[in-house]
Amino acid sequence: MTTMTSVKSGKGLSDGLVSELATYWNVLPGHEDELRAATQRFADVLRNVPSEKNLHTGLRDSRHVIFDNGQRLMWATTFENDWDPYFDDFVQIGIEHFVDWLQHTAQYTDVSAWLESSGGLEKFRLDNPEIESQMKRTVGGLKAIVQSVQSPATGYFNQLSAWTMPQLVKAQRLQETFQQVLDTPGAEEALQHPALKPLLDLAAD
Amino acid sequence: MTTAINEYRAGPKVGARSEFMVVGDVIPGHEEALRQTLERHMTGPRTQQAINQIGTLHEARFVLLDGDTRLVFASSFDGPWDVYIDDFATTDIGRNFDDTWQHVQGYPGVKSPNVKEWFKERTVVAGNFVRACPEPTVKQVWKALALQKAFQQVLDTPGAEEALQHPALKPLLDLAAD
Repeated sequence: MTTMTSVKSGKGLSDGLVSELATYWNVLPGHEDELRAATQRFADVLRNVPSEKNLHTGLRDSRHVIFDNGQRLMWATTFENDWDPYFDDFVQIGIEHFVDWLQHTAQYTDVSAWLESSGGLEKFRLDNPEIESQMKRTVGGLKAIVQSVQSPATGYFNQLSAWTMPQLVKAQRLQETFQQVLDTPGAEEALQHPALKPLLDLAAD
Repeated sequence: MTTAINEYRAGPKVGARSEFMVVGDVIPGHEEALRQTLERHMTGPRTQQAINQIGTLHEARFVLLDGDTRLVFASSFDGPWDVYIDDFATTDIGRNFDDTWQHVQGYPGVKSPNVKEWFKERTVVAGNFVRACPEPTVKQVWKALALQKAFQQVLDTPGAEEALQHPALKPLLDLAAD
């Protein structure tokens, strides 16, 4: 089967604004527990990334699943930016957090060679004044390794694919504010104004 | 028993949203038919209608793995797992599901009393599941988006800005200024 690539989603499929990435790694024998712990640390890092940063990156979600009796790992994400900027921004969360779990996979041989040819972890520190050119020069190598273990979905559906995360956050903020207004004395009467009828109708829901 | 399945499915959950992943073996010789089915569903209008009908599914992907010999289904959904599976059986998506999973060994059919047990046996629980932005349920998001549409309609209506000057409505006016 020929795999198509696109600016939007790389090798993966898209539904509306959202694209998917699913990668499958071979777990090094005897490393399952360490891998599990390392992927948990990675997830903790993602959880602690400020939400503005996540909105910028375009990451929607991420999961690690170890299967086949501890021999395989699926790392899957969904994202809403174009593939290249998404991956570049995502890597800047900290390459050391990727390496932490990648070192327990058979593909780490390639990752390690890439890292060495890229000057090592130090070169990817965000305080490196040349981080931009470093990323531009080297990140394609890591992207190629990730894509080499990517299996594009044959079917992908996202229920909220028509809206970006900033749009969803904005709508949610309005919903919370509206609820706060409805709990305010006098609001119901104020909403009786003919110009506000669409809001009054929703308040009745 | 449903409760037992839910307990078994105690995988990562963020807010109301849980992850779900199943891996099945494709019946030898059915690889191409399965791929065609998935591609047809991907573009079929009935699929989106069915997903809307369920209203609890956030996202789902089907991946053919190992030379199309295995099918991975990974999704995330709101609410209890057994309701999620029941919804597949009671909505149009059940037909899509049967079209797909009939190409996988041992699949009993979405309306079979054994279907939950069958999925349970093939479920792999994720080690972690992270959502970048806290997101409420799909239905809550739909409600918020409907409100946003109504609010925009209001803002485009003559006289609305004046009406929103009422002190009780001030938080809405503040948001309109954003």
